Amino acid sequence: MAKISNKEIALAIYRALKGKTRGEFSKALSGAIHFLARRRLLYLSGEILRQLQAIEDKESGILRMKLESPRSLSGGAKHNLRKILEKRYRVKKLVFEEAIAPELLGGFRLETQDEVIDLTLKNKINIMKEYLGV
Amino acid sequence: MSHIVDSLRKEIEKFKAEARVEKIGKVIEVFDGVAKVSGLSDIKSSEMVTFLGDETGVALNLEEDTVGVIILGDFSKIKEGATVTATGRILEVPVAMELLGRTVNALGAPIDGRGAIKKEKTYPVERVAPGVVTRQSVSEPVATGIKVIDATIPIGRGQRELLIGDRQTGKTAIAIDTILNQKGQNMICVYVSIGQKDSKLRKLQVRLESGGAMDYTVIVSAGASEAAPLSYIAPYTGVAIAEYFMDQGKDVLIIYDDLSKHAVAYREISLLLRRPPGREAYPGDVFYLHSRLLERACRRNQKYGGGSITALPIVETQAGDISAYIPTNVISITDGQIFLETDLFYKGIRPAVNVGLSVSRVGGSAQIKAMKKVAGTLKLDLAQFRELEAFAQFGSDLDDATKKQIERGKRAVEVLKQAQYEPMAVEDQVVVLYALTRGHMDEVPTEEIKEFESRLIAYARTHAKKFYQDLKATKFWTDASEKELEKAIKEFKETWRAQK
Repeated sequence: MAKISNKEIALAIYRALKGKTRGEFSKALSGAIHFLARRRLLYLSGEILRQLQAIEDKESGILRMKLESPRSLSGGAKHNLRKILEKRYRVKKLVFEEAIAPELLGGFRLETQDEVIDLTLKNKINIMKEYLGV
Repeated sequence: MSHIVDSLRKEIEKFKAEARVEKIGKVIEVFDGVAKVSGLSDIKSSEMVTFLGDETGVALNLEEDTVGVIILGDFSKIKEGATVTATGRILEVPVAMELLGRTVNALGAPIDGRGAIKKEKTYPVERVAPGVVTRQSVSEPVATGIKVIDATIPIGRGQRELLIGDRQTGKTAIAIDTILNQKGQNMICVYVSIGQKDSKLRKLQVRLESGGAMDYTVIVSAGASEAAPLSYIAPYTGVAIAEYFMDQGKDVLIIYDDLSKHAVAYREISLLLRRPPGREAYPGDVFYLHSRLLERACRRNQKYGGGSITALPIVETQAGDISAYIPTNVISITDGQIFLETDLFYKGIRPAVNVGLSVSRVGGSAQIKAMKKVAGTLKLDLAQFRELEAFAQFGSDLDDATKKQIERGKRAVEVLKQAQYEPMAVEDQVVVLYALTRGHMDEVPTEEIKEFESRLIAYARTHAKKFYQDLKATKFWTDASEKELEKAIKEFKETWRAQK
């Protein structure tokens, strides 16, 4: 029997729940959980929920992005960054999940799904270290 | 000091750190050198990844949600949820002329405690084998210094000749002797040790050093204590290093010791990656595993820079079974095999080469003319001797011709015996085989053959100088030099008889 991927499970759950009334929703949700329990897939729930969130975000044109910097960016800088990124990723809405990381020394680091744009000073030093063959 | 600061400043001025998008993933699970990673979209097969910027991995299984990665290093440090970064590059190893004389691991990092190796460039571990237009047929010999091989199963530069046999039959010994004999032969050697004991490797290293062979040899080692992914990658690293030397027009000899352990390492990785097992639990692509490796051995034509890679893969059999999965695969990939037998080994016939089962499909055209002339019928004679020897055991009366053939065969077997670490120059081999095939040894008792042989060589070197010169210069003899050798052998036999 072919293995069902987490993505396929998440998509099936999403389709089963989408557009349902409150009563139907809880019935479908309970069915989905029973299915996972019966197939002994509950240990994958974390990954399935992550996939569900990704599907939901994709459907509604939302992109979640982790923004790390040594100190909080100014409102103007964030606004400019948001405009550039919304254009690059072609999304309706961009949600920053901000985190302060002093070890980055300077600049900022953006992380979304499986992409990273690292513009920190720490990363530049590391690249230079590699370039100089240290 | 100011010079160092200036050059550092220049280097820093040249440096540009461009912003780029990196692909990352998260470790879902880690087990025995293999990790399952989520994310990493757009990753290529065999692409290099880094774990926490330290350990390296290679993406092997590309699935819908996850990527199966083999970890080339200490996997105990890698935890669930750790970040994995794709590099966009296929796995590569550093290469340099400085590699000569060094022992490196499967990633090309030195492990001999003699400091860092300054890399000149990097070479991809996986590479498509040279195409037909870049190749030329095998025509130059690889002198192994082992009489039975050079005479009956000759190996040519660019050939792939399998060394196959049970454990403790002398497979590695033949490989070491061949490396030792490459001194002054314009050959670079790469010895790839796969899943071998470190003590064995150390012994080999010392032997090569004492024989002066490390000057032209590189050892690539993935020891028995290292994880299976390193054993899997080691032969490809070895051939990448060999390709670096070949690209400079050099002839390279590469030894894979051994491919049975390589297949076992690959089986372990494949099973951990949940690939479907096939015959003997090996995955379906185990043939391709070795064929793509051995296809990289070639002789390139001058238009494409010349150079060659001669491969001597070693395969260990169980109880002499050459019809097992891996032996049959490698036999069909290579251009011949040297089959070593336990029975012969314990009978004292060493190297324990079974001449009947051994074959060299392309080496004949690489054999020097003189050797072809003296050893032309040796293989057939030995085969006939074996048959007659069995027949003679019944004790029936034999005619003179048969008796003569048996006696000649016995002497041939004695002549082809050779001690380990004593490779013989091809000129000396020709002299000995000339004396054997022309019947000059027929009256010498078999137990005295070894002594006769060594003393004959010493005598011929001083009394048949022209013959030696001709062999070196033209790879054949002239009528005059042949007469000189005949005379020298006759004179030597007279002194030999007188002394006895």
